[in-house]
Amino acid sequence: MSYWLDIVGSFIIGGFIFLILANINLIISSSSSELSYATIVQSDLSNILDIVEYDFYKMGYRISDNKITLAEKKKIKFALDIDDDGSSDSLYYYLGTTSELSITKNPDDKLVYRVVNSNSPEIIGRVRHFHLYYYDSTGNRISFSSLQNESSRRKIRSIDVKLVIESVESVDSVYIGAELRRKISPKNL
Amino acid sequence: MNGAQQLLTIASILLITVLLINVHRSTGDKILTTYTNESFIAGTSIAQSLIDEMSIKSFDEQTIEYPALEVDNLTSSGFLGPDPGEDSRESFDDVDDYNQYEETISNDRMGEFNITISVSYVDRDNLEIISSSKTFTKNITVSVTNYNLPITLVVSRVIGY
Repeated sequence: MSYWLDIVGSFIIGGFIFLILANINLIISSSSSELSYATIVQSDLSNILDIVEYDFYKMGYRISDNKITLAEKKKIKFALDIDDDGSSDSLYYYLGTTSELSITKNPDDKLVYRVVNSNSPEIIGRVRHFHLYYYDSTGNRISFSSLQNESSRRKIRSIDVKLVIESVESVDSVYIGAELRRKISPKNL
Repeated sequence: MNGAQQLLTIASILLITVLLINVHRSTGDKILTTYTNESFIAGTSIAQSLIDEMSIKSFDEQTIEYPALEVDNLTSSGFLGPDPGEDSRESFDDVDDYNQYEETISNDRMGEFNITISVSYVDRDNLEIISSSKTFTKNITVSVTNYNLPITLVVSRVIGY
């Protein structure tokens, strides 16, 4: 009898230990993926912001008139002298569509494009949201509908960039994300 | 099961418990680190946005309409702060209006960021030294605190006239 109790008892304890070890393995694996994705996402966020800041700060540089030619929630086109050669250049930022990134498992990610003059679009990053909000000199937000008019676009003094990035794959059904808002006030507007 | 086997079983369970606790602790620490990093990025962004906003305002209340040729024309260090009628950020028209300004800014993911701004004159020859007398240079310091930040994040910029 005692012999059988020992066998059954050791199987039960062994089973528990096996389950605990399997659980530890799952936790480590999930945590490692989460950490990797978080690091990638934060790094991407920082890289995209660096590019956007660099360009947006130069908005209107050496341009006398009509500095912002398009101001929408997901796209902006502005003039500047990007290479400091005395001639006007244009920069166009816009958000792509989800269908362009159907290759990733995240259904909401899109590409942000940057176009200099009439060159081919460059991809500057993969985001979930790239939203732009426009403010006048008193800090009041300018409505998107009024920004269709050039006179309203002339009032823009600050641009609030909202960036949200999510991982390409989910970890435990959750996409690892990072978000920031950066209000840029170019000196040449 | 004899006594030695029981002891070995208990010891192995203890070892596994210790292992489990360490794994959870390590996982928690890693997740906390990612939150801290994101809070640093978001907090720095908020601070830089505010400094940007301030840097396009006039240097001083006395330089809004006319240029100041002498430091004596500027606002005294004891009076740095919002002027009468300036009760919100939107109504601030010069850099030092933001002195002692406090605001809580929310971020969807990282929660609330508490902002405190201080503006002071600094010695033109040594920008790290706060000057009690008027100078043509002002230091803006934005302090940011957040639940996920282990320390107060401080971002500074010196603005010259």
